[in-house]
Amino acid sequence: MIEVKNLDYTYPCGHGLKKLSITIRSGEFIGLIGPNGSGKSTFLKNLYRELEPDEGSIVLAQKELSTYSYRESALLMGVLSQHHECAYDYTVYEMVEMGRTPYRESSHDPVRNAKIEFALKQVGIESLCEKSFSALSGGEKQRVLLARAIAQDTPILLLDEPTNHLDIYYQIQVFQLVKSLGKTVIAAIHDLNIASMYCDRLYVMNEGKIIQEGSVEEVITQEMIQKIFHVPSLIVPHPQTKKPAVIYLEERENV
Amino acid sequence: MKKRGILLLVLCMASIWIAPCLGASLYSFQDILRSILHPASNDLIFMLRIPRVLLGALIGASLSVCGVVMQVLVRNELADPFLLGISSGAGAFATLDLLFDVFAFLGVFRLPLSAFMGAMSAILLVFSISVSKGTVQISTLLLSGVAVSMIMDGLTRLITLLAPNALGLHNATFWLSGSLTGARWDYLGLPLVVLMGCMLLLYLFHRQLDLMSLGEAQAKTLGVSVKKMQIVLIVIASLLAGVSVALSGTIGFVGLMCPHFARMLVGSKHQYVLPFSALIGAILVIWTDVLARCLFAPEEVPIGVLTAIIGGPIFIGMLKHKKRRSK
Repeated sequence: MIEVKNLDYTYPCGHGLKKLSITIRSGEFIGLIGPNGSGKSTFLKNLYRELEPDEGSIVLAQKELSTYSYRESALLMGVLSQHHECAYDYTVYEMVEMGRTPYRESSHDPVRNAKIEFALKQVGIESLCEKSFSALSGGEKQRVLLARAIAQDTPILLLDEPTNHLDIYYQIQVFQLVKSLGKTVIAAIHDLNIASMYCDRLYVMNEGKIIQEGSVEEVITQEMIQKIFHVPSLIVPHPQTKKPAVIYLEERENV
Repeated sequence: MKKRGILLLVLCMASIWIAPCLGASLYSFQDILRSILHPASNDLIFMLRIPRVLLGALIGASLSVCGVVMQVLVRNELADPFLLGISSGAGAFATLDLLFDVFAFLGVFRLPLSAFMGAMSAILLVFSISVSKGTVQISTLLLSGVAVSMIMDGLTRLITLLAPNALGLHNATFWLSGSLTGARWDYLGLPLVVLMGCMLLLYLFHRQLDLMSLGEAQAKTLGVSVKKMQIVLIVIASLLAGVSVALSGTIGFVGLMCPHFARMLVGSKHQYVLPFSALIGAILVIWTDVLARCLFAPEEVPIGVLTAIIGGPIFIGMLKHKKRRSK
């Protein structure tokens, strides 16, 4: 469904993406992991068109991404990014209903209003509807933006470190919810245990390149964590899912 | 919301009805009614007062809507038609035409067209400086806006210094300070058409304006072609500011304050902010012009001077009120 070939993007400072190629099938939950500055967000920004690639191609549903209008791509991809900025004071309901803008529906359209209600209910923020978005905590804002992405009702969801501002309860809630939607998901994730619990496949990124890819079991290993994150660890099977769970260890000689 | 809208509309209509009565000479409602029902070319009320009030309403609404557009463009509630040099550019080009007849070849609409060209030049210059890799850098945009505004103001001063005659210089200086003196019926068509056209277009795009307030990245992911939208907004802002400056000089603070008042009344959705801002702008300029006529009658104070003197403290009060509320 999404095919990225030889994607290059360079920031003025010289960092960026180098010849990145990824193929993602419909319905997959893909995790992008890697240290800060490895290019996870840059890759997602190229996908959701905040940045324009210098070279390479991104093909979405058999069509080059750059040939889609912004409205067309907004009907295919919903985005939950790290941005919370909002110049003016909208209510939570107004923020969520913005997710329906690409559909060009009337504000009285029952389908539109049902989708908005569904999104609010799914994320559990019905009680915040009349509250001002700017008065919410970081975690609440992130949930509102997730509700907006759900209201947008696209087959693909791009999550750029979506649980940055959330406590562990809401982190698990967000991933469970996203997983239950059954969409194609590409998520930049910092928490390796969360990535292990919810992703079907992982891509490890470092210095703008894909270093490794594979199933959770293939990728989350002591060697990878040592090589990429420079942290010693112990991998044990998760007691419920049997997927790899990471226990981080201290570097004994430095203590 | 509906009640507030109707109330504001009634207030605006009442202002248009009452304001012609007030000035150096006072008139009754009957005088106004008689003048409308039996217009005569030597009737001061019909030929001067009524068009002046109507022009004030149109200019107030235009400047206010221009303020809304600028605030969306730069995603900053402190933006107004002056911030990015748009009014200064319009002022510089219009002064050039007023004093040196440079744009005489443009015919009857030479003043509004020259002001529009000045506004467009200024805002295009500001945007071309602040675009990097296809993205507008807001901080660079604001700083280059201040710089271009200063350059345009400097040019205006230079043009007035080189003025060929004293009367022209006096007229240009008075006009630059903002004035509705000399309003005529035939001056009303152009600002009316421009305001209605721009409002219609903006209203069609009201949802996109909401999304633009979230920033370029979020707007794009929600289906807005940001670059196209920015061009549309630049042209609209230039048209509104250009026509307003051409017909009334530079009237400050209206474009800054009125969108704020509107947001305080109806929230941030542009579906409501646009018409409410227009009505508030119209009411504000009508009454400030009444004050300009009455304060030192029979002398007149330039309306731009009054909007600055009154608007400044009101704006500071609003900022303090907002700060207290956010605490």
